[in-house]
Amino acid sequence: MMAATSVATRAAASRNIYVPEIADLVRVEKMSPLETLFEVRLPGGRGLGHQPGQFVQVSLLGIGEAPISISSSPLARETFELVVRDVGNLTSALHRLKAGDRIGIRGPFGKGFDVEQFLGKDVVFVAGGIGLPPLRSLINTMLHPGRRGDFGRIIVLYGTRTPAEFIFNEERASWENSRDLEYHVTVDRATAGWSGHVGVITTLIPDLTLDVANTVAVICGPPVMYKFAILALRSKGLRDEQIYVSLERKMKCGVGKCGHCQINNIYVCQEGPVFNYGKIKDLKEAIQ
Amino acid sequence: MHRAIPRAKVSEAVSLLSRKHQVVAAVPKGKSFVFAAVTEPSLVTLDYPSTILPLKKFFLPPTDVIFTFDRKSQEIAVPKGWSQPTVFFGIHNYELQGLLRLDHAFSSGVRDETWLERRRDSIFVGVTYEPDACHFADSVGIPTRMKDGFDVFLTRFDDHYRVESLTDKGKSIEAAIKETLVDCDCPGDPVVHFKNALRQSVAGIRETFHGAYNHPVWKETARKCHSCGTCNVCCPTCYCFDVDDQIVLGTEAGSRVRTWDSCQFLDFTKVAGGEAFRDKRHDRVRHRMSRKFAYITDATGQPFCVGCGRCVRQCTAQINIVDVMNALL
Repeated sequence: MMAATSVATRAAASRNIYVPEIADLVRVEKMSPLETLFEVRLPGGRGLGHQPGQFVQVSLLGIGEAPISISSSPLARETFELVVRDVGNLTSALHRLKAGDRIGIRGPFGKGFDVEQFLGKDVVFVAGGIGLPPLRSLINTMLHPGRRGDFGRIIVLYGTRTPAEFIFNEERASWENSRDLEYHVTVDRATAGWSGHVGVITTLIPDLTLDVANTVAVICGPPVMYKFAILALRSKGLRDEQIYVSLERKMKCGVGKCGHCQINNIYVCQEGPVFNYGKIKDLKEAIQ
Repeated sequence: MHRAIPRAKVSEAVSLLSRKHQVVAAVPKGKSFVFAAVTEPSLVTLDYPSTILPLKKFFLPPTDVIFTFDRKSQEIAVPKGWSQPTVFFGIHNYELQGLLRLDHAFSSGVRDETWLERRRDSIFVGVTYEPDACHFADSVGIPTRMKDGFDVFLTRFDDHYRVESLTDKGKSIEAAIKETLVDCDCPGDPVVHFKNALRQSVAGIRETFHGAYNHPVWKETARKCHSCGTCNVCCPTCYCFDVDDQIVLGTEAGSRVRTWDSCQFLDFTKVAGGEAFRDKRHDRVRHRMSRKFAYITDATGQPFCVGCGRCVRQCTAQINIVDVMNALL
């Protein structure tokens, strides 16, 4: 077999689509027993240039890579934020890092939300657990003072298994009293001190009063949630084309080559992770 | 009158080519054959049924270092690209068709320059073959007379291989071996017969697949399949890969490598949260077959299977992809 190895130039490295850029962690903030927020700065404070809903591949040399959704709005330009659940090899190693440490970044990858499609529309967000961070990128884009007037109502539904899993507590506290959005929260199981709504996130949907013709909904959460959320939204009268989903899949390369994220003939890392449900409803294996 | 290489002069021709180029050809390995960089021209054969692995191993090695790194300094070093001029000598036409399909995969959408650079200086000398019980290239639109992509094409006639130079590179190859060539009548193309064959036209394959999602053949095949991944490894058009970091024990040095992967493995789609999106074996069997005959075909118009028959020959559960396809009819 042919082999030739010697150290290559930076130019060659920049051409290689699998080579990450080394970035700085400027802030590491524990959000819940399992989730931590990482604020990342690319070399020179260069903007990531992402769209809400896109993801990056996060690298730790010696551990590997994992796809992580970007949870900050593109309007914050010098850094970006990732919220990571400690659930696999890489994410567990990430949780041992502190501000000042370095990580590898590739991306942004995939297709996110095109906010221009939501102009003038009421938007219902259905965020289950770790599905909130990707949606927060879009929520904060729409809440931006310069843009808020471009959209109709912003309705955020957020649910976790128990109150212990809540994240973005300060930010959500500000949503409680905000005139800019309507916020509803639920837990699957109440624990001591919880006096709010109890029930899976889809139980929040029937009580919403919606201007159905002018509403779109956006869903992100654990795979099991989608089918039920879609059913509940349809019961309110939303058509499939008014529903957007952000799908989780295993993504090793992020550039449509490695095959792991494929749903039938679709590479989720290229054509998603955000999809209009109307366009993928007939795609077998898309929604469990 | 044509020019031809007498059978007895094949190793001499390989020796001549080796003066200027690396030559890759089929050589025996136990009872089988493998493609290998030639070190002993007398071992090269133009009469072989198939090789264990296809040519993809030269451009996407089973373990391919993407970069090396030092954990302490966080320095990354990317290996220098290859574009070693290589003559692939005595290649069956479906083999080259497999590479051309991978060229499409690695150049469409985001370009994988690593693959494309490695492919740049390849020269292909094709040869006809006698189909065995497993080949079915004819059924997927690759008749034995197809010479697309070759620089030189050799057609076997008893003791001679008729030489046709098809490109400028091919002419220089012919010139390099001219002292081995003789005149030969070698008329027409030999008639070949495929014993393994699809019972439908290439155009019909796509139609067959669109409506076959719930066909019982997937579960029937899955009952035999062990999900061992052999079909992926030996397939000329399977290119899915995994990416892993490997550390040199006791040091801060390591490398990020891509390794061949298999869509037949349960873990292939499994995310960190534990969900696997094709957790049933029949889902995985159907996925592989659909990649060969529907998903990519819809985009390119060509099956992503080249009919080499390796997955039939090497399947550890004796599954014949042609039988599976024929059951869909």
